[in-house]
Amino acid sequence: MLSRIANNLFWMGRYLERAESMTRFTKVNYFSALDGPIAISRDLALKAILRMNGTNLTDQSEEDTLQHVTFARDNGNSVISSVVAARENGRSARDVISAELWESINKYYHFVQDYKVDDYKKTHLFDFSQRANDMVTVIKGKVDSTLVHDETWDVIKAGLFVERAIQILRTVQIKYEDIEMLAKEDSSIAVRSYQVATLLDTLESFDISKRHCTGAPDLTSALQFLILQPEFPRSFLFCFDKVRFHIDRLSQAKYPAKDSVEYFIDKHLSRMKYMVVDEVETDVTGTITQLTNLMYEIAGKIEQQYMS
Amino acid sequence: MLKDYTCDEVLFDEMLAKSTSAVAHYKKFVKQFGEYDKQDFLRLKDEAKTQFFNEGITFATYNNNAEGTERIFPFDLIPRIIPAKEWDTIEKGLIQRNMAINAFLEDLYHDKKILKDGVVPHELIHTSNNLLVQMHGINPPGGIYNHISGTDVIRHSDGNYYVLEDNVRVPSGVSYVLANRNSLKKTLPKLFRQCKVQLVKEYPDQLLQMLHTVAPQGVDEPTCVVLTPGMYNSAYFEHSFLAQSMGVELVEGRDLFVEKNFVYMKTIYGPKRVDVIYRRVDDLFIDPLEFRSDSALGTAGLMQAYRAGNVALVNAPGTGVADDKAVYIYMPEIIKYYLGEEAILRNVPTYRCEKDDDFKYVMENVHQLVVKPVDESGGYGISIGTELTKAQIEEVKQTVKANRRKYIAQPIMSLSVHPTYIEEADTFEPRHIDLRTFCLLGKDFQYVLPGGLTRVALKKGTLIVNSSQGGGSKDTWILS
Repeated sequence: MLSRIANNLFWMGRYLERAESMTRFTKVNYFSALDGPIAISRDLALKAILRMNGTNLTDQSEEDTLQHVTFARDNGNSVISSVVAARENGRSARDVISAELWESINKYYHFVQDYKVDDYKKTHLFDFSQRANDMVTVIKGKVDSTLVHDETWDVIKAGLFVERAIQILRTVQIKYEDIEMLAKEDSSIAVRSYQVATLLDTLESFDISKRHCTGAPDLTSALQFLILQPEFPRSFLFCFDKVRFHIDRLSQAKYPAKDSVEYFIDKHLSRMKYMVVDEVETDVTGTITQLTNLMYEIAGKIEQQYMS
Repeated sequence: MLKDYTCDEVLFDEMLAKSTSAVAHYKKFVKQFGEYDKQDFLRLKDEAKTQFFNEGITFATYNNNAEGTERIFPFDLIPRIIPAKEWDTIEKGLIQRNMAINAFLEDLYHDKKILKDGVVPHELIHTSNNLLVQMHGINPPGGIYNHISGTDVIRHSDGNYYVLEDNVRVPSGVSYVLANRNSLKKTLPKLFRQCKVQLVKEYPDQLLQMLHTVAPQGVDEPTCVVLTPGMYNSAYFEHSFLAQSMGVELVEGRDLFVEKNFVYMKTIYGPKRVDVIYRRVDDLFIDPLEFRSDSALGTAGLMQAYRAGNVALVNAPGTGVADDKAVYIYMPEIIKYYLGEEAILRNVPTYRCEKDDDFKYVMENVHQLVVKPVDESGGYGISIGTELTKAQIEEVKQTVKANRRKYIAQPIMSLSVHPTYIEEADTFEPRHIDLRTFCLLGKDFQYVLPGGLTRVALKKGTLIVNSSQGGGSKDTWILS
């Protein structure tokens, strides 16, 4: 496989995951602000959405915020920009991906591109988000079911999991900031637990987490579930391990060299497996920053070793 | 549905051929087609369109938006049908013509016998923009220059087929032939069962086989690639389609590098040697060391590797000198000179503005001639006398006068017409068509795609069929 194509597919995976994550974050947080305890104002939700989007803008109206994070073409982090980038990367590799996969990406692109922005801003946010993310699910299904599980598949999957790991950390960080901030104004358990529930919801984990952690969700169990749970697809550790899995498959070396990305991943993953939630809780922001930087470093090393 | 279809008698209609009912080879089709009603037809048409759109079978035009505006190449559901016997002649004629072009190119880049013998005028070749000095003395692997030729064939109102132009640089369009066939099969399956149509889907296999025949000496299992200018090229769909259907890599210039006169591509596991390059990048962009130094589309050192015989370029650089529209005039002589045969396919009478007599005639008759630049493609720069105002005629005269070598003129050939569904009128009307054919030449290898791309001028009365200028296409059926 050409290095350039590998790079494009890796980024196709990353952009798909990024678009999906931003869409879901916006949807969940927007709706969570509608019926929550009073302190959880719409303003707070909109600010969280803007922070998740990585923008410096503040004091935007509701409609402007939604437009900016979802449909603004001049915003490189908007959903539409990610979709365009995912599709452009896929298009450059049309000859190596399946026609079915390409078609599903192309359909997704046309859906987002043709969606009436006014409808979205005013009445159809839920409809858009749901349908758009269903399409991403179809795309991921096509990745798994229509590609030969060779290096093409590994590269796309590695991109998906790297990005998902990063997006999980970002989501946790932003909702954690909200929780801390609200605690200063209203430290009631209701508010706190509502925000934790929103956090879990944003990562499609609320319902399923209950099977693992009984009782009202609290921050400790949420952190345990979203960062350290080894078997849940929306936990950081799970994604990290998947990155290892796909990069190991890509590697042709039986014993990876000390300066290889495989070695680097294994070394850090081993440490991570023995991390306990207390360590995370002692310094949530510090831990998240550290793990985010680690994931960026891994992505950089993957690109350097295989894609340049 | 076609029973009310009529056509003006001065035109040659493929289905009616100057009579009032369908000719023999259209009969089965017309009967079967009659079983659909208008509603079915419109629904099927929309389905076909959605399919093209979802599959991204589009060409892009870039105006003010970096993503490009994607357009579907308009596809008409009514196929154009050619009986086996007629096709036989066309096929033979194409092989003959393109073999002669190959011999001509080899001669031009070696001994130039044909010029010395005065069959083709010296100055015509030496003033061609497409003659590449870099090609002199090079022996391409397998001795082939024009591996892929896209000869344009038309049918005149006299019912005869003529070659309108030769395309031996990087002819495009074949992916639409396959896409059209696919789409039509899905949309109108019954028709196929009724009419025995020759297959087109083997084209990619034939193409790959051809590429293998021209591998450099000593390479048994050649690595072939398709070289594209990138995904912003309007024919990118075709490039990726061809690579994918041959199962070879689609590379860009930046994926390749040359070391010690061998070409390699950069893969995730390190460099891999490349033996045959089907390049879809124009001559002047393939190697910045020998052609345009500002080209970012090519690979430095490629020509040197080619010269050393370590890589095959398909088509060879410098083939454009042979599809020059002024050289076209000499094709019957060229065929005779190299093959000792009479040309099977007719040439359209052509006036070379560079010649004084011809020039004089053209100046006096611009109003009833087609004037074309000799070295452009895509239908650009063409003016059709009958469609011009007085002022425009003057303008054409001035343009020709300023650069006589650049222009030729031909009588306005009345391209044959074909029933075509016209959306605005919601009915079937005659529209002008031509045929882009695809002929492959390799070492001891010849193949003509049965059919080709029938292009249709959707605008009423116009003769220009190019997709960039509002043309559409049809599936082309060669009956077996």
